[in-house]
Amino acid sequence: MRYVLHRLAQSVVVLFGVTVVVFLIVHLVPGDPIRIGMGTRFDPEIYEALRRASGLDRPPLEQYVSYVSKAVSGDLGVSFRSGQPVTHLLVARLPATVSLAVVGILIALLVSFPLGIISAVRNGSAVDSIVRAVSQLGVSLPNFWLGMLLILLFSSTLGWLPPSGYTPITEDPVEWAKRVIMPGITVGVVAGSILTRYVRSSVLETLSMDHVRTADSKGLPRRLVLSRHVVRNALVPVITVTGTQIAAILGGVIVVEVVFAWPGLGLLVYDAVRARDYPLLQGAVLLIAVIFLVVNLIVDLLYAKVDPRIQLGGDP
Amino acid sequence: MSTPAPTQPDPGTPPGPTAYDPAVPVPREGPRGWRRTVLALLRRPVGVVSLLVLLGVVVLALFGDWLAPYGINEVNLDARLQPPSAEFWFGTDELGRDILSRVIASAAVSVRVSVIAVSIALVAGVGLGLLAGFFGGWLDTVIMRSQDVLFAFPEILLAMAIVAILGPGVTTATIAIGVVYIPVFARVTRASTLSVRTETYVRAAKSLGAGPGRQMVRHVLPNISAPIIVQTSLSLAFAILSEASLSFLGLGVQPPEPSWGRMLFDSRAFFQEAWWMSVFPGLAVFVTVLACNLLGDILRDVLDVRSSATARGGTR
Repeated sequence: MRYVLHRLAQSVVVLFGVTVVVFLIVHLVPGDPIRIGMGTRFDPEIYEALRRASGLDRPPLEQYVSYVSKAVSGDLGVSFRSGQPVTHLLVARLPATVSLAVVGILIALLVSFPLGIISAVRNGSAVDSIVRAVSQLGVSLPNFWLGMLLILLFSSTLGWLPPSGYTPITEDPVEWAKRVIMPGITVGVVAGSILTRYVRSSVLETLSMDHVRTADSKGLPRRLVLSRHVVRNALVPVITVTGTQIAAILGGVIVVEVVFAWPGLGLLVYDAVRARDYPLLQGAVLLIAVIFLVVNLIVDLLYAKVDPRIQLGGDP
Repeated sequence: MSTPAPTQPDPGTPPGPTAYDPAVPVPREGPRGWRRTVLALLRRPVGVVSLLVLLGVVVLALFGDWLAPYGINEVNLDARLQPPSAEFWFGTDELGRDILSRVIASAAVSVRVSVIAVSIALVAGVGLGLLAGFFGGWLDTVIMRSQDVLFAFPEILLAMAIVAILGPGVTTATIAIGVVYIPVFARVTRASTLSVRTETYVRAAKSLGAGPGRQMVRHVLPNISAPIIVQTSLSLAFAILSEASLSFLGLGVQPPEPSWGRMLFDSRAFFQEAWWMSVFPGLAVFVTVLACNLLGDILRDVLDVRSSATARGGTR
């Protein structure tokens, strides 16, 4: 319980820092952010309206308190570009990003666990060498380039899959699946490669432990030793890395969404940065950072639950 | 990896402040340690290949102008969108510019951005990590919580937010990437500092009159260099990827200066008819990043750094 409280308090402090950073985005812009945001579409009336709506004419501290209190109630301001509430825009884009991230994580897990375990169990074999080489290649692949190569192969050359675009799963699951598979693989390959390496080293470490030697020496079948004593123990530390990767996928989807014109939060951030739409950018950055924080918190708490030693250790 | 440091001054030397000799606590990685590391690196074929690849990239960055067969902005409208041939090894782009020459010229930008960015992260991160780990207490809390805040944003998102504030361009991209990687260095340095600050040789230096600055720079830093070196190599890989990602999004290097990411960005309009425009620049990023990653892995083995010490292994 003490660990849970400690970890929660830590998250609250970080969340406070995150809101400060997000708040500063618009205040660190050299010059007048609304004027820059409006660009050539400058109109004095709209300018004044946006200035009042964004509260940029008030003292910074007052603005910060107002921003946070409004954000808590779900009001993240109004987009400079479209004039729509930021919250609406974010909520509309969230399902696309979540579906892509879930597919990416599933692909990463489905690839990394079997490969990592096989690689460790057959340590030093040809299979091990291949898995290690492939995972090293996967870690080094620029995800946007992989996406482009997949489009080149499966859309331009073979014509099997549509090159880009999104269909909600609720509308047409088959069409959704056709469109999600390439961006999903793109997102999943990098995360899967990193995970494979962690699963492998974790299983290897467990294989050399005393309890595994004991199980081996008392004549337990190899398969039973692996499933009961090795894999279960080895997967505990992998939880943390999986969590980090889930969070990392949130970052990864930004570029991948641009490649596949996938209308999620990533594409929204991209459009917001290009259009200098600061309220929209602030809202999207805040949302992604909060998701990132929550995922990491859940993973840490889960890890502490699975491995009680963490709770006794104090500061993790 | 270490030669245990002498914990006592030479018996022949009279004790007391005047006997303080900064050379007494022998750093774990002295000159002989370095020679051993380099030799161990050169004994591994993958290490040699990685070093040669990186050396090649540096040579291209320094002497690209002389090595490129054509000028980087040499327009040849008679040779637009030519596939790879004996004349144009990597083909030509929509303006008839030679892709090979542009790939070669882009090495300079990539090396410059990644080296400067990692240097920013290294100096700031190691400085903060040393202070936090050495002094502990409130300073540690303030520094590390601020790093947690930066850590709460996916890297590319934070970099994009910084670009949105300062405007796109190669200088902004360099600063953004540098800032993004500060927390990784701070964490690695702090963790290592914590593990050596109570070592006898640091306490001995203190008792012999060395101030905190001297203790940190002369006694702690040399003994925690191994994980920092490994992290530097891995961060170079991620910095190259980040630069390519930002330029791919149109937020990094701006035309007419070529960069691998920018070339990939431009190639998207000619995806269907000119595969070579997207394959070769991507391959350049991939090979360079792979070489940095492999070198980092081998250094980790050779310097015997536990993988947990180098945090955030490959999140993007």
